[in-house]
Amino acid sequence: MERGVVKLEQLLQRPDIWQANRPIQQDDRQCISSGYTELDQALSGGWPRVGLMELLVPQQGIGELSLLLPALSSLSQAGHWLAWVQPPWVPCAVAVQNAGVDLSRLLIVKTEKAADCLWAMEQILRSGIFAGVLGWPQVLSTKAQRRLQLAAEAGGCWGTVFSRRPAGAAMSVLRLQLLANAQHLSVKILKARGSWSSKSISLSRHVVDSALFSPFGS
Amino acid sequence: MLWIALSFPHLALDQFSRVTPESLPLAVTSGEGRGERVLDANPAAASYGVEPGIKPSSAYGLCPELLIKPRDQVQEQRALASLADWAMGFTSAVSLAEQALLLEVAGSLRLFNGLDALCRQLEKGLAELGYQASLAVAPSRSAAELLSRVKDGIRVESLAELKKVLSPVALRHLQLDAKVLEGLAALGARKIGDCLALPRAALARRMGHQVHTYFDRLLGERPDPVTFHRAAPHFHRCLLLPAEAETLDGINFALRRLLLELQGYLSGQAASVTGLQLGLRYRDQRTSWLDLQLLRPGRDGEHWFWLLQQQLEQIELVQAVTELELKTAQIVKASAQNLSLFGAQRDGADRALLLERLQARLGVEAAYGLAISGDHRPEQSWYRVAPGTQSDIVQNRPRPGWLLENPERLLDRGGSPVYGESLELLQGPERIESGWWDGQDSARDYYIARHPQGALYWVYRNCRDDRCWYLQGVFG
Repeated sequence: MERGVVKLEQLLQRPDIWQANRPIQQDDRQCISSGYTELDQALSGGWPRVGLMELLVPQQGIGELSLLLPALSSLSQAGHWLAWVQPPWVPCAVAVQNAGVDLSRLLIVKTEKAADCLWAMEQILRSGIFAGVLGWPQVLSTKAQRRLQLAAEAGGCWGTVFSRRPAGAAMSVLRLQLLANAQHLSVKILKARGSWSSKSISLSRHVVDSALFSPFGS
Repeated sequence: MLWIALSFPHLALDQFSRVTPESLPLAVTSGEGRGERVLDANPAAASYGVEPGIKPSSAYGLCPELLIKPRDQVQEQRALASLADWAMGFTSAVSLAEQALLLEVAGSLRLFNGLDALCRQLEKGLAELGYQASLAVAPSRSAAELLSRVKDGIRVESLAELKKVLSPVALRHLQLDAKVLEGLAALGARKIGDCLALPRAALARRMGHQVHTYFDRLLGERPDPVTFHRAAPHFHRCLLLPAEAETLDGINFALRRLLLELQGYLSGQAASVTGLQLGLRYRDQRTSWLDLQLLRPGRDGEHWFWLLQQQLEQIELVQAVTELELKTAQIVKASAQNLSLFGAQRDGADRALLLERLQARLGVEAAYGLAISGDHRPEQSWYRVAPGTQSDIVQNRPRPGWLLENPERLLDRGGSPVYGESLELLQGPERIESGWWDGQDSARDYYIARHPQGALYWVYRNCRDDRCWYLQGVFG
């Protein structure tokens, strides 16, 4: 059968072909500003307003909470509810309040088993009443990730899971690897939906630590 | 006046068939000893050839897996009373008759959008509860009751049509003494129409006054007083499982039906309930109780079913369960609530539902909010509250994002604490000396320390006793 020869330039003009070198511009409704300008630029706007985000941290406590606190605080000040499921340590109420999160709209859920943690996260994400959920499940399989992602989409919620190493293919909207040293906290984008970049952003430690050292927004 | 009559021709069988799966052949017998005969059989048994009137031994011969239960008339009366409680959700004028319920619905038609919709809801509700009923509508009570025994679905809405509809009905359906019926048959009457055609005064002289009043009531020409049913103030039902249940599936079927009855009872009373207790009675007569407390008064059967499922999955059935018992603690009369125009109130209700679900599966202590107390000691500076509680106390000090439950002792190397590697003290000391009033007196110097790999920790050194370094918090 004869096929017409099509020029490459003509093909590239077609709008239904996605090109990796064109960055996806997300509009403001779809992101929450992370509070750090370089991070916002690299993520084309900030954290996803709806969907599951995975943060891979080699060791808890290197600054992952401080990274998220500005965004959590802005959600809380806007009147939304937040939930933390199975946190690794006791959340310090004083620090959380000083960082700008309203304690009367924060729910802490403690679970014993890994299955219960995933179940609780799914229920909270799906409910549609919470705007941000942080979870620390012991194990996170690909199937569980997918379920949480679907639950977050159904409930219009931003969910974040912290894990030590990636478990299989990423079913989440965003997957970031955090690494820390004494001067910097580096954030490497392993997967971002809709974009091809695998950028690594280095944030100065002073900037990150200031989320807890001094109250945000005051 | 418009009466709906619901008659239950298979009431004896429904007691058992509503809690067993449809595929199980079931038959009910009446009579004792030699005279015991099958009274009624469900479709699964009928397909094997089990019919009313045969002996139980023949029935077993036709169907070896048949489950035979003797008729329990006391249970039937109780069932009728609980059906009356349920029917009070549709109208407040409910009266009991023999194996039938009579509802006066003239006042409910507008609320339920017409007679057709009301009848459909009644039929649907009865099907969900597991009862087979035959429904008839008539302007007079006796006529409605009579027509419901004749056929399902007869509807007469005005008195004028009533005579026409009643005429072809056979004489045996009349609720009169056998002698009177024989007398009427001897007169040559075969149908009610024939009786109505006879001159009434002469009939009364010959057959007695009660025939006269009966026909008058039938046609709606004479008032027909009844006593109306009053619902019991408490809900307490026992459901005997026909086959012992060893797994959760066996219980679920019956449990769902029980909860539907409770829902119907509450809607009849326009009330809601704050707590339920479910009792599982085992073969050896011991009962284990499950308590379900609700955060807000509710009337939703499906939600309770889900919450009870979570609790039932946690317990192990050591023996087979023979009976389920459901009772409620307090009934709260529902008060009318103003709906808010914006979604805030609805969110609050949804949040309460979500919390109930979390607490049902994970335990009451699992989901909580935080509040700050005025104590300077870090471990006493916070406490658990119900989520959503407002607190006004503010402590404006640098604190780590996380606190360890028990402070971890650190080694000392040249004046600095060691946690894997030597930590560099960045800020401090912050002296916290407090707690002389409750015996946990402490005097500590807190420092913010950095680990060479980047993490920030909150460490302290005891000023008094052992002068050792401890790790108490992590700046996450």
